[in-house]
Amino acid sequence: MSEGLKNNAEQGGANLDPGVAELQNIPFGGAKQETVKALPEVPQGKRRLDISEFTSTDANGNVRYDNAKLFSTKAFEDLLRERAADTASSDGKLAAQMVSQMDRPDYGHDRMVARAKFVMEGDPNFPTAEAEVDRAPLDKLKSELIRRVKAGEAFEDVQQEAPVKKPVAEMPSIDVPSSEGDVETGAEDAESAELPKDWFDNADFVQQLLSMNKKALHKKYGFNAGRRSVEELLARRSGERGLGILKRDEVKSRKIQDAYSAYVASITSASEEIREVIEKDIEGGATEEGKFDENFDTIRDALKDDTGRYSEPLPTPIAKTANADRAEFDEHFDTIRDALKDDTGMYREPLVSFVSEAADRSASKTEGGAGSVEVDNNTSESKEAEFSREGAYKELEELGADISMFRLNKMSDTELRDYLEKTKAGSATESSEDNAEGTATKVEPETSLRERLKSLAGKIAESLPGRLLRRGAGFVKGLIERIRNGRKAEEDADALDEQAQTDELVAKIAAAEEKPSVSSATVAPATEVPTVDATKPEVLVADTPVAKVPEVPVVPVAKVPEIKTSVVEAPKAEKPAAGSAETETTKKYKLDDLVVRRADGSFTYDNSKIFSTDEFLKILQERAADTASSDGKLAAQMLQIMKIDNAGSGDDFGAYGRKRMVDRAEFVMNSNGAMREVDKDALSKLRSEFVAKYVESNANDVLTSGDREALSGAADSIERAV
Amino acid sequence: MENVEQFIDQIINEKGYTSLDADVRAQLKADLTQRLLDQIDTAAIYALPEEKAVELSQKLDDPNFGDEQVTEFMAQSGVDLQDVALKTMLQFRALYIGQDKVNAANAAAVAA
Repeated sequence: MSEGLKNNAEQGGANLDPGVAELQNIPFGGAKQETVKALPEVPQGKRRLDISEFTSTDANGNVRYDNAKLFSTKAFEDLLRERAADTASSDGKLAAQMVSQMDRPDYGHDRMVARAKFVMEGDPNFPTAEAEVDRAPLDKLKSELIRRVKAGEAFEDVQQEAPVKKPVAEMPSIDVPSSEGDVETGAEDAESAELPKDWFDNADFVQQLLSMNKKALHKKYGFNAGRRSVEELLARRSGERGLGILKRDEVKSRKIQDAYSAYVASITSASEEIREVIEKDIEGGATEEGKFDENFDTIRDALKDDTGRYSEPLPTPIAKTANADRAEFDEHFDTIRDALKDDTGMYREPLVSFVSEAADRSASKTEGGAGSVEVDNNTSESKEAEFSREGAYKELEELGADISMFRLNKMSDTELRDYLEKTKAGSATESSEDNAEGTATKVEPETSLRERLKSLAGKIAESLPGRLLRRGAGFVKGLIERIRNGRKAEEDADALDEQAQTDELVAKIAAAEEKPSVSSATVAPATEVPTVDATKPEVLVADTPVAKVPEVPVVPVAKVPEIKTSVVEAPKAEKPAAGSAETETTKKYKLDDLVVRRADGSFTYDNSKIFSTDEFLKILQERAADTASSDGKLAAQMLQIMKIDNAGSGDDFGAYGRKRMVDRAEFVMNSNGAMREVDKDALSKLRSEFVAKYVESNANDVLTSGDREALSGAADSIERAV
Repeated sequence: MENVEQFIDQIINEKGYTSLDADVRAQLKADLTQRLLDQIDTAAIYALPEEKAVELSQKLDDPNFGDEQVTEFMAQSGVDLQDVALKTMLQFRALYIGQDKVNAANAAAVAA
């Protein structure tokens, strides 16, 4: 890159890698100023920073940026908070994550700095964990900070003071207000800015928040948190970790309080109306079989607001769908009735418990009677409705869309249908154009394109050194490690293949000699060998060293900016239904096979063994769907890492990606450099889940911290099941 | 072709995304551009012999090792960066729009 462009890159282009903007011909910071403008006055309490404050000299006399110093600045913290709002960009997403780490009441800032330093520099003890997925966005943030410092912006203090470990404030409990809905929020009181975590244990309120995008959240509740923030908040709501994001912002806290108050009031109001219906039934002796279901029309009206539109307490997606075609929805109100029931057919929230109990009593009387037939029909309808949604996903997938985005974004049925139709229309246009004009008219032949691309390729090659310099040594080291690991995986695969072939030959000879054949079961691990499936569109089937490249996005995701891009769908391993045959034959490991025993009989887990098992992979796949939890998010990230690193192998979860995942998991659990790794707690949960599910319990074992983790994991599982 | 943006525009159109909202298209273009450059940079490193890659990683820590030195290093290592970039762009395109489409276009061109 030329010196001029390099300077430009340092002075602008906040949202783009300088190399990207350069190649897109996007000017950095506009045209170069001919005259030097005076820098604005420095406000009191702030000062301009000198970039030399953030450099250090190594043993060879080389001057480098000191990442720890840079990331410790208040200026960096401010930058993170600023960028965290831009959830559509990779650096914004990362910033949001780092902010959530920082806002933990204890060592949050230290953790953020340690994590950021690790991302940039890796850990010499764990070289394979060096190619961090977050490196590129963090690089952007770092570049932006340097640019601001160099531009002479004034900042508050340079170094953060040592974080003060604050005691965790006890969260006040909440009483559901009376039917008058006169909720005292105490918003004027600064202390009330601390939100009771109980609020976020209200599944329906949470669902309501999560079902709204940033715009809707702002419109309804007036805050700019965005669903992402809400998700982050919810994911950390257990114990003192919750609420960090909004607690520090009193205004936002008030909005959340008000939102909850409005929610409670609406439920209470609707519940009162439903109560009247029930009481009327009771008074009129109408509590016989199925009466509650029959009176659902009345309840339906109670679920509408004064304008006749469906509203709370129906979950927002259902209300949206209902209002989209209200007349039809009224006729199919049984669907709503089912929406108010759980999987067992019992009524549940948002009907308040006394109503649910009454309704359940009434519904349970219908068992075996005519009512049960109706319930079955409704169940079918419900399944049909669900199937149509699944059908939409399937169609979108066939059209090349990444359906995990749609699943995770909780699009309403209407939105999903609209998107499907739009996508279909685009595809149909393409298809008809293909038919009418032939593919060759739409896609340029490679020979002519190659010629046209030569000069552009030259330009890119010219700028490549600049990009490599920006990426730094860590990038190259990570790739070297990949090459080495990939080679080892290939060697392992070859060895297994040779073994399998040998076994096959032996077996054939044995069969020919009419002797008992030699079992090839001993080479069962050959399933570990990555297989190439050239039909998978996201896999780069390459015949050059470019094979291990990340997948290419095939669908625009800007429509759903709140969704974290690193989350992947992991539906391949279906969680077996409780009580199914599969569950009964679940493989169980002996604890001693997965631990290292100490002399006194206590043990520590052998993380490498645990993370290498197929069953741990199953845990990841199961938990990845639960994007509201920290361990679910981590599971999705780990699957994503495996998938990326297997690009080119044709196997999403093949040997190389698994090794990478295991290395990463081991690093998280064992690293000293970033010991307080933010993912450690989440990974512990996953490991505990594995232990609880797949390890035979042994009452004679000494209770260790590992056991406690396992017990904790089991408790989590039970909690989730409940 | 003058710049990467034009290339990305072309492959998005070849993919069939011709009626995207402006903001969606902009986001998609930015994602694809970044991804393409990531892949080209990765390919350049993969093109080096391992010992050269190790040497490069060490040199990149040296603040005196600049653009020219990287270019010279790559050239001396026998890596034709232009060729690496070109091949990666073509592979990237084939991956994105589908190898079948590329094959069909090539076949049609030969037949013509």
